[in-house]
Amino acid sequence: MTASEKNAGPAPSASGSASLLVETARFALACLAISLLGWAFRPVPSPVDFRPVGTCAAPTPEHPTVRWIEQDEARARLGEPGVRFADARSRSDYEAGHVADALAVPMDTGALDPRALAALVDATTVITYCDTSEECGGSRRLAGLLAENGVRDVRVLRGGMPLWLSNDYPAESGPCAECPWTR
Amino acid sequence: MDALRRALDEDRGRALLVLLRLVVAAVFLFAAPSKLLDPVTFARDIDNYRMLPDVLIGPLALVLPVAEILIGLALVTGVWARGAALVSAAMLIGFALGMVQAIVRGIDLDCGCFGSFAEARVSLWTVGRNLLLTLFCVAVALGPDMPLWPLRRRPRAAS
Repeated sequence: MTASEKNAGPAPSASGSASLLVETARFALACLAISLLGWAFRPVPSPVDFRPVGTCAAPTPEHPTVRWIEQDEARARLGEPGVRFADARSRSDYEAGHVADALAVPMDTGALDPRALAALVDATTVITYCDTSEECGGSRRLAGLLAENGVRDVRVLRGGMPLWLSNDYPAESGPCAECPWTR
Repeated sequence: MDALRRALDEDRGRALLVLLRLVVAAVFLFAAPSKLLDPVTFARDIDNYRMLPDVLIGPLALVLPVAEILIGLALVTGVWARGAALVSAAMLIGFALGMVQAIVRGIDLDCGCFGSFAEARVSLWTVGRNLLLTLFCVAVALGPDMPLWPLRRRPRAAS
């Protein structure tokens, strides 16, 4: 059938309905196939990325006073007097790139250095983060230790450093001059 | 049904179908880019409806914008336009059902219809808009298979 004949054809009837369903199935499959191709280039959003935080939703059940903080709110508070960022990753990860002005408080051993605690205990808010957007285990542990040791307002940065970097928020590299406990 | 199909196959019916196709295409092509560029925000919009399991939300946030762009392109070009219209009708009904359950459950939320580009609270108006677009899509799906241009049916060759 030529294009002009097709154009002149009658409106779909019974056989047309079948062809409509076939076309619909083909189109739906095409949408899925192209979406799957797209997945190769971008991660599927996970609940930790998109789930909004209620202030009552503690990231560490044993420390209900420790709360999540979203990336945009954390960015807004960067540089605010009394607000400190604490990087729970390893020293090498910190030196490769960290939130601007963050302190390095590696949780490699699971212990909190007393000097790091002394540097943070007077902050009005400490925002901890680490390198995985899924669990943020290091930052949650650090947050729990800070809360146990008297830091009044402790938050865990949802999405951690990977999301911070993908948001193109202020970051820097190099060693921490204020962190003698990492040397 | 056959009478409706015949009416849609007349010149005026075809012109109307092209207009409906362009309206639906414009809506989808306007809605998709911000969702495509910011899937996390769109996933949050979907999650706000509180009706889907976590495992579906992320993939849906990636699939829906792609589908919307393909639907828009198909409706503009006429390639698989009727199939695209039926898929979009199914999507629009799904969106409308999501809105209705949110209204019934008293969930106050942004509909996420246009991603972060334009915000609108879920309401009966957004439900009605979706149902109207669904009707447009059904009309396109039931109508003749035709390109965007020419609108007029060409006369059959004498046999």
